[in-house]
Amino acid sequence: MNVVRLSNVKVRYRGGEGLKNVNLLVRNGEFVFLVGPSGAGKSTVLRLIYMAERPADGQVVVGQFNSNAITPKEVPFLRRQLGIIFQDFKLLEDRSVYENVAFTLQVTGAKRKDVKRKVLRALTNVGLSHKRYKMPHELSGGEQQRVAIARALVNDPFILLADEPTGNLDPVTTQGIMALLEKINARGTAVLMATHNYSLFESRPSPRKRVVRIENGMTST
Amino acid sequence: MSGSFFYSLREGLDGFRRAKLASFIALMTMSFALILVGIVTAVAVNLVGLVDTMRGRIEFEVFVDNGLANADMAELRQQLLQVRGVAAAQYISPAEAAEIFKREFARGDDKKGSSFLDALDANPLPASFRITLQKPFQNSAAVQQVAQDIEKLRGVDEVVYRRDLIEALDRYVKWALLIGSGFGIMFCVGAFLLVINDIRLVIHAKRRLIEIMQLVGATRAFVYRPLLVQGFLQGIAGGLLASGFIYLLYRLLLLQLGTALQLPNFLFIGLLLAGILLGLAASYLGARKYIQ
Repeated sequence: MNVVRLSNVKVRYRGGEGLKNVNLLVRNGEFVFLVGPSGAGKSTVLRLIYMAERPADGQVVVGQFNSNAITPKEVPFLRRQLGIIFQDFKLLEDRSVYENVAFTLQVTGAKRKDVKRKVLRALTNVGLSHKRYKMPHELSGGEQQRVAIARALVNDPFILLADEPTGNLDPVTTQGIMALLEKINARGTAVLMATHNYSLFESRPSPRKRVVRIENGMTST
Repeated sequence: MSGSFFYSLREGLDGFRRAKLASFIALMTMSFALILVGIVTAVAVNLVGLVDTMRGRIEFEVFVDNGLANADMAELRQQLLQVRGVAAAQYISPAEAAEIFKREFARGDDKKGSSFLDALDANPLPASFRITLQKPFQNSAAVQQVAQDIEKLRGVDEVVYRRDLIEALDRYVKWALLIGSGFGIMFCVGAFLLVINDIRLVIHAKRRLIEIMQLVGATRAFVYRPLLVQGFLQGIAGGLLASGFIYLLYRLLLLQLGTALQLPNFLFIGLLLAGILLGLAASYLGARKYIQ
């Protein structure tokens, strides 16, 4: 079953060329690397998937949502089914680890009793339940990315979108984050990881993994 | 629903704690703006009240022909009351006119006025009517028309009124209100823009929070709600502070000047409502920039 499909997608940037022709398919439970140099359009592809951007041409289908039909009011409901992590973690610096993860559930109107259970489960999955009262600045870069992953997973998404998640991390920490993403993928969550670092794919081969290259606004497998 | 309501309330209150300085500055600017609005309104209310009082004092003296009989006098009074714009016509007999003359020209030890009339064999002062006008006719154009209508009545000898005073009142009040309103509006708009800018800075500090809320699937309404709650609370606090300050200022002026200044209750309610509206509008405008 396809969870994400981009068909003949074009995006125009202001004052420059955007995506010319992007085709991408992510099936249930797959681990897809979207590999390309900086500026190739990797982040734009992810933005198209969480519908922060709309294609000028072509279509993006994510779960039951279609870019040609989705209304602005439906976008939040699409995002609740996705997990998104970034290179810069995007944590709230004035909230504890627990609060950062709980935040996702609170803003989507989850019941209070469910929040605690789900947050602790997500933090246990990333190995950080013992640091739940720490503030982000008290954590290492790798730990901060784990908090971001816990936040992305707490709503049980069908796909995890990772935009250069190891870009700010040292090689050892990078391997730890990759192992964590593989563990999440092994449990059935599809992963789409945008990276310029092809060696991340090469160094950890697996039958579930696949590479899609993007260059000059076009994809190739 | 109730959970998300309490979440918005908690987050709204928490907003002050998380950005203490920015919130404090925004609150002070809001209070200052509302104080300015309050003072401008209070001055305008008192100015309009003063002008109304002065206009209410506009009077005509209608002198009656000397030979008019008492019966005709009663009829003349009826006719005067029927003239468009006349509110009241008070009859002043020659004897009463003499009393008034003596009172006005014989102050203190100066008995000239009194002795002047006493020296005459008969009272030379004619009977008259003191005319007061209805409110819509208390301006120079209407006064002139009323005077002309009265002069046409049989038995009227002369109509006397302070035309120059009425015209001056009209002219100066018009300019005073125009200039006052111009400055008032300018100050208020300037102050409101400052408030909007300050609250926008408070919201700017929360752009990451807004971004993350949207990324994890919060609806637009949900993102707006805590920000609007904060703006609402800021508005109430600003309105209360401004009301308190203006009330204290009013009490102080009363003590110092001892004059009857007006401070209508609607001013306090207005300041509170203006604060709330301003807080909500500024929060909405500030948040709109970051909410897709």
